[in-house]
Amino acid sequence: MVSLELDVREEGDVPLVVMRVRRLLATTPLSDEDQGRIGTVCSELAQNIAKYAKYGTIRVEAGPAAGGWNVRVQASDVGPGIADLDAALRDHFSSSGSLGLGLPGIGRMMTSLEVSSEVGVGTRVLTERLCTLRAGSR
Amino acid sequence: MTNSGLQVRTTRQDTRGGSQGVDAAELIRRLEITPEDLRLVRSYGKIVVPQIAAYNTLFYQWMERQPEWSIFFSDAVRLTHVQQRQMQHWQDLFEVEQIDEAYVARRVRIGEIHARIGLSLMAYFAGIDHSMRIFKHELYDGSLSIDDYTHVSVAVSKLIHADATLVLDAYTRATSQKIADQASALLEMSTPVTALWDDILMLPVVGIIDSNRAQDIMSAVLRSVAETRARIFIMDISGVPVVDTAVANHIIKITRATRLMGCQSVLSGVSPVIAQTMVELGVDVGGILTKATLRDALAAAYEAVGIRLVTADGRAAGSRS
Ligand SMILES: Nc1ncnc2c1ncn2[C@@H]1O[C@H](COP(=O)(O)OP(=O)(O)OP(=O)(O)O)[C@@H](O)[C@H]1O
Ligand SMILES: [Mg+2]
Repeated sequence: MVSLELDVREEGDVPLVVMRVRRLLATTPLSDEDQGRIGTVCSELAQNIAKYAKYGTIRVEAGPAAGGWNVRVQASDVGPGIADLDAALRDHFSSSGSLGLGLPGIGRMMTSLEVSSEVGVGTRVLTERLCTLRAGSR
Repeated sequence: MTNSGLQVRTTRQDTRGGSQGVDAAELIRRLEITPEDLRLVRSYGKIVVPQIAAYNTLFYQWMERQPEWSIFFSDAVRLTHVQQRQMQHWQDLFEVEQIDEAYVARRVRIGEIHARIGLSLMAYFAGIDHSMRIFKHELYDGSLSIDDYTHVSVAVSKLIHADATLVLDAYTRATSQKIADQASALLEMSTPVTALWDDILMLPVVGIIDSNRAQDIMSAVLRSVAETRARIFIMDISGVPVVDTAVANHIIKITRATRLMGCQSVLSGVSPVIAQTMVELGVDVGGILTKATLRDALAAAYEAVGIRLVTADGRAAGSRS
């Protein structure tokens, strides 16, 4: 089992998060496709923290499970929260004029996605995926 | 072949929040420095300031045995200069009237110098610790009551810790500024928009793209398009490990902007992993011309500008069919 926790305070931290997560995943037998997915998921979540909240953390945990490796990504922030969760999870909804595909995209890439948020307090996103392994690894 | 290799430089304000650092009022509040503390320090100053030359001797006897000695003090002129400044510094501390912005600024400057010359914080703290021992013990003449000495000792410690706080803060800020500068220097070198041929521009993008970098790429590309009046711009992303919606959004914007300027963008080097990610994210790349490899993109570019490659003996070259 490997894990990592990283702080996000500004946009400049996003590439650092992505780089560290990729380094962590490179030590696991995850398939390239799934390493790519998890990298993108972390990038989306870190980006959202940097863009919408003041401060937050990204936590990644990966370990062997029945049928592959389970990867769990949790993003927590102390930010403004999300007033309308249903809207935030809908394709093309964005309060910043971006594509509005981050959260719904994560939903498509991962096995489960749970967003909890309280306005004025913060947001927590928990998402997991049972990942496949690189050919040749057990 | 034209090979102008246009390099575009962009400078950006450091976005790291307020670089003012610690101010005098905050320092006084945090370390609970009272006017009485300052009075006690000045009274102790009457004992140690006249012995400042002895401090200097004791300190440099110790300093000579430190690993930094040969690196920083091999030059005699420099050594004398540093010693003068150091004695002034301690005199300034022991004769403190009030902790104001000027007092703070003099200490911040020390932190910045230490960061610039690369003196380690460990060496700095060892020096502070040793100085404190010289002032509190070796130069103490035993003239105070135990109670008075205890109060003086606490007050002197507060001011020395205030010094250390300021130096550490300045040191940290100078170091992170250095890192930010290095990163942006790297960024400047990493958008080599190159004219591959008349009418054809190419940019290989390597590494993680964030918003700042995407902005740099956008302005570098648009400037090159304007300068060369290129008709085709190839952006090769085979060196980009991760795309997310923000990157996709930037790529879409770049292709739209070049199109407005009469230049068609071609995206190449889209790996299977990235293609899959784009599809799962739900990014609509319908309007973007994409090619799996740079070779394919180049072939399409030549065709678009009306160039046919032939070998020396007149056969069609470069086509795989
Ligand atoms: N951590 C957060 N704190 C507060 N609001 C958030 C947070 N994350 C997302 N949101 C809100 O949810 C909306 C949808 O987020 P999502 O990531 O799906 O899209 P986006 O960030 O707007 O655009 P994209 O991610 O495609 O660049 C955001 O526009 C924002 O209003
Ligand atoms: Mg987003």
